[in-house]
Amino acid sequence: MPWGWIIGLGLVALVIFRIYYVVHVLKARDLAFFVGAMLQSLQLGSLYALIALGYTMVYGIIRLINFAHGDVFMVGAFLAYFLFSRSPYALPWALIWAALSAWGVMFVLNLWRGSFRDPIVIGGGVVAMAGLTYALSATTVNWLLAMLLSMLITGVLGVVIDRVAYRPLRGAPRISLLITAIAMSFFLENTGLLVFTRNQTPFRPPTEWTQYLQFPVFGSTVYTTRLIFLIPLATALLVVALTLFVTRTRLGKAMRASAQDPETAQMMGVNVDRVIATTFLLGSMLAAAGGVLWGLNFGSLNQPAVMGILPGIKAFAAAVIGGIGSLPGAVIGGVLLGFLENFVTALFPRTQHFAGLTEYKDTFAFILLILVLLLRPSGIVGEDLSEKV
Amino acid sequence: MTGLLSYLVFFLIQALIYALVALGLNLQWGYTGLFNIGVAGFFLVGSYTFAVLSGPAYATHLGGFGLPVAVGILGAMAMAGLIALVVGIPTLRLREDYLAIATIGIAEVLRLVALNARGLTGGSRGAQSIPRPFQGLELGNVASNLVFLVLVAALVVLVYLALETMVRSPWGRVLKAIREDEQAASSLGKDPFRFRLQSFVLGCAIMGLGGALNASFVGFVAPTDFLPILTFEIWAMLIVGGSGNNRGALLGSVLVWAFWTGTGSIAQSLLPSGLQVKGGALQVILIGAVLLLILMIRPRGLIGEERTVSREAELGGDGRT
Amino acid sequence: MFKKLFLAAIALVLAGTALAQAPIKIGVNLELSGRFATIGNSTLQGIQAAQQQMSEVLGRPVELSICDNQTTPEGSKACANRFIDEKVVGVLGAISSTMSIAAAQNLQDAGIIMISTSSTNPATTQIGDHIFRVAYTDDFQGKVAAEYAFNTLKARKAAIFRQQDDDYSFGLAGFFQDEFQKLGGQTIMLNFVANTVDFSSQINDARGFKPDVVYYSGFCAEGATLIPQLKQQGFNMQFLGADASDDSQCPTSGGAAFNGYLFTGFGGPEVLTGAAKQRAEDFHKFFNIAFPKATDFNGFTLAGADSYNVLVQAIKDAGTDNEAAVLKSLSNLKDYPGVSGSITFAGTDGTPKDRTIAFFEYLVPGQNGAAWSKISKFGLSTAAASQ
Repeated sequence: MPWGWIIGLGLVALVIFRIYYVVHVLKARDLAFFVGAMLQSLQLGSLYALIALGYTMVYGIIRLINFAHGDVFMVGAFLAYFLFSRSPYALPWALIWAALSAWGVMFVLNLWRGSFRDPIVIGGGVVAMAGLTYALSATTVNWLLAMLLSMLITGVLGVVIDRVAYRPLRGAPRISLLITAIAMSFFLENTGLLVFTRNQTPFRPPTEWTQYLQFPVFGSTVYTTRLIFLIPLATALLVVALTLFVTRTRLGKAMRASAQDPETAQMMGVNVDRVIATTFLLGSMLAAAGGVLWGLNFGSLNQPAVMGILPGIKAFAAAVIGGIGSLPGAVIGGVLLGFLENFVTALFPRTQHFAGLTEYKDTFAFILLILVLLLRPSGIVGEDLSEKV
Repeated sequence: MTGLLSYLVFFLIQALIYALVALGLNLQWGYTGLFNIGVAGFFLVGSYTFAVLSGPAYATHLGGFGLPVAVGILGAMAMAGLIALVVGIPTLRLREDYLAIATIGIAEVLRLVALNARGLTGGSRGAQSIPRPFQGLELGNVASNLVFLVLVAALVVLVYLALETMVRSPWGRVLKAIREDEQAASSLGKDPFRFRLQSFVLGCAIMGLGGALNASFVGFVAPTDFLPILTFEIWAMLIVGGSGNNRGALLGSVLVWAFWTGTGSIAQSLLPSGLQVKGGALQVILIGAVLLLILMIRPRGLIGEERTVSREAELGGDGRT
Repeated sequence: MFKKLFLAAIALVLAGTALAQAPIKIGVNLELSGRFATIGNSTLQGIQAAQQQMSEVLGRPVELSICDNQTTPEGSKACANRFIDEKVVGVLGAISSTMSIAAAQNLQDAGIIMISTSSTNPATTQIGDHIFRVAYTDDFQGKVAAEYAFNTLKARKAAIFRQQDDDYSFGLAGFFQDEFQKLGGQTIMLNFVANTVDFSSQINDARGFKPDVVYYSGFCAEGATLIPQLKQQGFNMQFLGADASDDSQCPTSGGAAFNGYLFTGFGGPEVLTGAAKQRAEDFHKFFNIAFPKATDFNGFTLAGADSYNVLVQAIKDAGTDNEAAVLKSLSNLKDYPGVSGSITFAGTDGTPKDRTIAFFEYLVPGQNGAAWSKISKFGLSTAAASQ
């Protein structure tokens, strides 16, 4: 461990020295700029963390790189977009959206109650259905409601993907599962092209959160938006909720047990299929939340075929860098990647004489990945998985 | 009639180039169990290396060495192998998924470098006027294609025979042993990492060969030729044909490429122009569905791996392997 | 071979009898879906309106064969090959330089005339004698924008955002940079690729440079994401764009950030003079009746219309749809009264001599881009500028 600390502190010292150099020797930037870049990095890193959590949870339990996860993230963002941009809805559409969301509510309640016939589950579904139908047909949907509904629907989509594509192959070689995941990814992307749109789509719900925020620091101005509060806070909230779920609830404990040793867990009476479904539900909900925040952050969604790919594989790389299978690892890896992409390019800015690193920033995640695999295959906080199972 | 024939030649060249790549992938996945999903990246390295080594001098980017086509091809294979070495050394000691994520990452990195490093690759415009072999003979279009077909077919046969010999040799048996039970193999004194690395580098070099031939055949390369969909197509070819069997890889390449171009031209001719755009998306969904079906119904592909039964077990006669 | 003879025989027989009415086929290769879908459809509407105005030539109806290149070079090549099979008289389009260049070589080799509507990269028409355009070129467009930025806006430091995987954007940014530096200004070039959503690193790079004007040489697909992000990051200087910004996608998707955005574009009725102004206004009226629901009437519409007009005029002048004859009359076209000003191909590489470029400004009241409008400030003629 001391080596880890030495390397870590050494890197921090290097960064500080470089900032000093850029500010005082090159005089290319001021300190406020780096404060702004740090805030940006935190925002971007939070988004990666939200996506990485889904990868790491699924990997932790069924040892599958869920390639479709990036596309689930895309679906979540687009669902929210259609929810807020087309409201209020005519009754038939309101009914469809409400039914989808009510199904999600029942799914979540079912995980807690254990049966779809349970009165609370049915009651919850009916109340959600009635309430949502009314709300969707009567008022405009704001982004927060759209995000929550999208999380419910996307969560169920995750469970359906597992049920349709992955569960039938559970006994099969792991590679069949991986190929199925890739095929599912292409399926979602191309369905997105057919059903959603083929073009870049503006994502600007009316909200105060995207307003500009400028404040003075060190005699200069930091430019940011109110999202600097929203995105990290929302991420922290979701991570805390997830951690509480995993550590405090029966289902969460069953999840951890299954991750450690699925066979023993099954023998101890854990319904592993249900645990896996829960994992997909939670991972996809987080991805949907990430998708909505992503849209708010950049003000625009890329077209469905490309939106999920790069954020998806980068977030997976982040999960591996942090330590695959570990929830804190995914968050740390995600935030680290955000800093690597945004802050490091800010440290080496483009000037008239130096091309800068901006054009290559999409490659950083993979270069770091290779380095981490070489030096510390278990990731920053991960348990040692270096042995081939 | 000549139109059909020349189309057939065209089709076969492309299918056989993909067959080469599928053979390389089969060595990695079918015989060694290495999950390489960065096929497009190694294909790209082969294409660009060939363009630089054998292509004409370009005004704005690297090139102009004007080396003979054969040297260009060998260089392309060496370069792809070198990249494979760099990716393989950190990842092949680890679980197979790490190789997967590293290869998909490296493919993306290579594509971005091809797009951004204008001085090296020509950026988004790519490299043009890449030569074909025997260009000095001034053959006509059809004859040139025919010659190219013969060349590619010969290379496919050569690679096929070489791979068959190799996988049947003791070396190939070690690969399979590692794939099936790594611990058993290493307890017999075989270093799994070394064998995996050899297989991975060799497979990627073959992919580089495919890339070089493709660049030579098409005459230009650009970053958009190497999107992840290419990797998916090659995988579909291998899975449909049957991994672990080189003949399966060949069959799969021809079939999937026929299916791909066939559905493409059906969509072109049947769908109204407004829907043709969506035809591309439908095509991918369709081939994904076929792949899933094959995985579920016939997980070993059309011609699966042959059963290898040890002589002793055969003599013992209880039929179990 | 037999097929050809057979067809020729049939053609002879039919020609002798009643088939003087066989339609003249013109190919249309446009970006109707994908990133440039909105300007693709503006161009198509322009072509279709022109066809409605002049639907017959030499007593034969004109038939448009429309091919969507999906805003991909491969798609554009495929369209070119389709037109070669269909043996069209000429091809209109594509719009963008990347797609135009992709199709041009094949069409040139097959001996088919191509008239790009809005490709402004100088390289396009240099591919061969069969390749024409109705737009001006980017060396001119980049130059006037740089002069405007330097002389009128009094800018001395320009941050240039260019889409480096697009021929148009890449070339134009270079011309702007060269001219701006020649005038004595400083520039920084910021690259991005198609489908970029996160511009934060490019914006950070721009920040240290402290530009007093931002030149955007890309398209609206990315511009509608970039410009709001720039505004959000406190970039309040003047933004300057080019003809690719003449697209309703910019203000509708980008919203309030486009308020006050200036761009150069194909001159419309407001800036044309004399008889050309009258023709453009008449065409605008006709267009409004033909396409009452159209969201745009812009430079792309006019360019589309004139690409059709000059081709049909060349067929008329040639008196036949024979390829060589049409090419000859097109290359000798002089002072054709087009709706975008007069068009002369005689003595050029396929780029018309006298074109009018205009400066436009977007007005986008409120946060939502729905209520956008654009005003044209003034026009400049290429012929006047080159003297």
